Amino acid sequence: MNRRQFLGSLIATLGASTLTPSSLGAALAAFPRGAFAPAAQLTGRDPVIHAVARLTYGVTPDLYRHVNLIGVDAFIDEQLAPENIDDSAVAAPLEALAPILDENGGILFRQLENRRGEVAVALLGNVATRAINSRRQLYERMVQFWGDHFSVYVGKGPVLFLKVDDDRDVIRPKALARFRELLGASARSPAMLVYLDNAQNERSAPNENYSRELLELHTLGVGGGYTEDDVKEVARAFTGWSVSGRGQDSDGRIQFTFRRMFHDNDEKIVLATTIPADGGEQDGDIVLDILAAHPSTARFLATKLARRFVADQPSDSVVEQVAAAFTASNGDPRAALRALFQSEEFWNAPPKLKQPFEYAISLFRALNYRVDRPNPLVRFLRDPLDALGNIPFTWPAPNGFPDVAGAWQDGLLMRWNLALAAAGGDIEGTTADTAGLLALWNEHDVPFATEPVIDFMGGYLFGRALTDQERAITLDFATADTPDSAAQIRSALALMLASPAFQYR
Amino acid sequence: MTILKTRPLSRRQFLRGSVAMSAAIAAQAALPRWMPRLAFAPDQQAARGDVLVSIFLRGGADTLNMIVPHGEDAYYAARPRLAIPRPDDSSSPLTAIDLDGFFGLHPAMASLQPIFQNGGIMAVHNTGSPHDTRSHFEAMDFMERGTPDDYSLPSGWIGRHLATLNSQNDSPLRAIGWGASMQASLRGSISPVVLQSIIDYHLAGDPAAAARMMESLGSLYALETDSLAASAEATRAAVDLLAQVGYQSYRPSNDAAYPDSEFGMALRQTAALIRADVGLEAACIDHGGWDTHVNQGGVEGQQARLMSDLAAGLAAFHADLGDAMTGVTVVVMSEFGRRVQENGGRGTDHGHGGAMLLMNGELNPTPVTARWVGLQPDVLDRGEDLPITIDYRDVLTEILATRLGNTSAAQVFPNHTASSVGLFRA
Repeated sequence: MNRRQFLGSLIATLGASTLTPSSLGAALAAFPRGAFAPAAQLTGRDPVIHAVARLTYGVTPDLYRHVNLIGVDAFIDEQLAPENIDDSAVAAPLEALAPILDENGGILFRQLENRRGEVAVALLGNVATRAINSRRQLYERMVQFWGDHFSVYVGKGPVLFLKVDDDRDVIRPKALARFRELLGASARSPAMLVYLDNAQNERSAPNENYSRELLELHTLGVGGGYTEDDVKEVARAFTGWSVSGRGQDSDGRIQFTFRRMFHDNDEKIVLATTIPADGGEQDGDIVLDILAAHPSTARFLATKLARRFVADQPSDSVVEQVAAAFTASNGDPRAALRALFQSEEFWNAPPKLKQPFEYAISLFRALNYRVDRPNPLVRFLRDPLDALGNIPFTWPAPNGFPDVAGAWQDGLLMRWNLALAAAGGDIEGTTADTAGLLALWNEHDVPFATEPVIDFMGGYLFGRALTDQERAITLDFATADTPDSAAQIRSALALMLASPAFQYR
Repeated sequence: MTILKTRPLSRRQFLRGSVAMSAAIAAQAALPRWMPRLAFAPDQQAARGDVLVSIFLRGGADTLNMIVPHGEDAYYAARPRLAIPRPDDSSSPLTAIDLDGFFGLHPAMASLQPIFQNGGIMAVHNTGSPHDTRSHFEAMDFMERGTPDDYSLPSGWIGRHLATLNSQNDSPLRAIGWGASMQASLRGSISPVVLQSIIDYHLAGDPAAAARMMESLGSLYALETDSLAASAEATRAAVDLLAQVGYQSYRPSNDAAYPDSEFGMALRQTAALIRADVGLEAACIDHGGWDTHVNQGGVEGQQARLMSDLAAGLAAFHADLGDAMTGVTVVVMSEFGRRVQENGGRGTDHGHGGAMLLMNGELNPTPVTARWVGLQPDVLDRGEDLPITIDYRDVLTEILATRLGNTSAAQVFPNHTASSVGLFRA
């Protein structure tokens, strides 16, 4: 940790900038309300920060300015249409990863089988860079959501290499597509076929692994109304759904293939629907049609969305609203999200503990970091995230990372160390653009002194004023060692980022 | 094993180093200020029960290939490609190692054979959680809660055990979950510490500044009312205590050689904490990768490698602790066993009953305890899986009452009437 560098840039920028009165004060006073903004908000939290914290990986100076200007309604609309958001700035740092991320997983498997680390770095670098740099934040959060929902574990055999295809060709293109499209793409994704063993599911030797998780984790959910017989029948329907690229004559590309000779072509009965004999590959698609349209699926997905965006234990009411919107729109995730963001529950949501990856990214964003080179960033992030058990795609079980506080509240020491490192400002591969933070303070007439900065940053980081006790503890810590404002501000930021309030989103 | 895992260099270096234990550290270890209050009075030390080490094999371990029923023809009929050959099968260089004339040990676990012979370890077969789910998550969840088919209690069985036990122990290291996140069995009111490495467990930077920041964080987290506050307090106390253990200078006794795996390192650190007498009462360790649907292997292969690591770790722990094993109970379990019939992919699918392992200095000298009913379809669960004739809660209840000094088993396992299994010497 090199604190001199961060402080140096803070002081230099301060000297160069002119403190002009804010034009934003007026805009703030006329905070617009509309379709999304709450009729009644009981949490006492700034709706701008609430919306930003829930839809994105965390506030940045630019985002704070932007949402305060256009209002939360326009912001949510904007985020629901990521195709209209210019995100060209995210491309440059990702170029370094393109040789791996643009390749077919089978080719990678052949070329890099003994250099798995390079592929692992590319996967984490891609996710972390986009989470920090991208302006399509809600889209990135939905990519995360579906990556967890259709979780594959990169520690199993070639899944690491195939996850490259799964992320690029399945999850990202379909993250806001109708659920049936995503479900179908996942069912044919080599990563999923290999991870849950359907590639080996054959008439003479059915393998139920994918079938069971498809019902339990991808669609209906536990208690969603299926039986052990349904598990067996669904497994039969998916016999022969496999991957190519293993034969001697292949070019090494691994892709979905239907192996007709291994398919069980007899009649199946799935959830009381008869699938006639001789359906071939279509048997699986019929099963997916049945599952995607099932009311249990709508309810299960609505529960998971509400858990991700609202609360660990979402109310029946919000789940019903979201499930209804999902069903009425024929499985459109944008419609489901719209219903979610219009609900009272969303605006009155209780604090939601950040998962460790989310917390790490939110530290970078709050301090206005941008990623220039993903590989060194990954070297920095990998060990702490590993210790916290939250490197993307490394959850061994197919249910994805748990999305409740109970699973994540025990890694505080590592979180505190991450906050210290981020406040230290010297992380290779990144630039901490302190000028942007200083500009924001200037716009809000915040003089470069410890107390006003602490007060402003309470609103910026937590969406509320600090309590008297928080303020006293922070001030005491910041001022104990040094009379220097820059050093005090840096200490205060480290403590505020490590504090309980910033562990929540 | 996660492929992304890179163990911090510092820990490896420390482990290889041979730093002599300084007099100051030795003195601290001999009389730590965190000693349970009662333990200062020697005649009452017996009031403290064993240290419980709970090892969970994640994924549903195929214990039929671990504790092999080599006296059962149906086992060989069901597993033409996966069965572990009979001990007297001269056609195979590697066979099951006979334990009692009927059951045998997988050859990858040969390091445990002498301990089986001396009565230091026992397998319990035909056991498990009675809930009929074949889902990993439900099965693990119910097993760790200790309340099959009942979600009404949010706590885990070890959490309830420690909450109901009046051990007069306020050590911040009363319970430890090794790994990245807390095991569900530890959930409850006791704020376990979750960690991977003793050496790395401190706040970064200049020690004086770190201490001040820790103090301020303590004040901030104390303002919270939720469980994050308890977690922060436990973290602070554990940081202080672990700094005094002197793990850098820990060297296992009796030439115990722990495997250089996450599992081995968790056991090694557990042994060090038991030796340092920091007030540890329960530790949870996970061992992953047992979901062997495809290419499980037989005497060698995927599952054999897992069993080799498991056995090497247990054998090292046993050797390291030596006579202290009379005060330590190790229990190994998995969420379910696997189907008796092998599948078409040279693997096995999710099943029901399985086996547990127990390690302690006071076990009855019986290598395998089982109410074996055979493997004929008419006795199998759903006609295909090993049935459960000993509820795993019966095993745990006996450990609680006999070894851990907990007489409140009814609160740990509500709605369960335990029957005696006879695991320990009277």
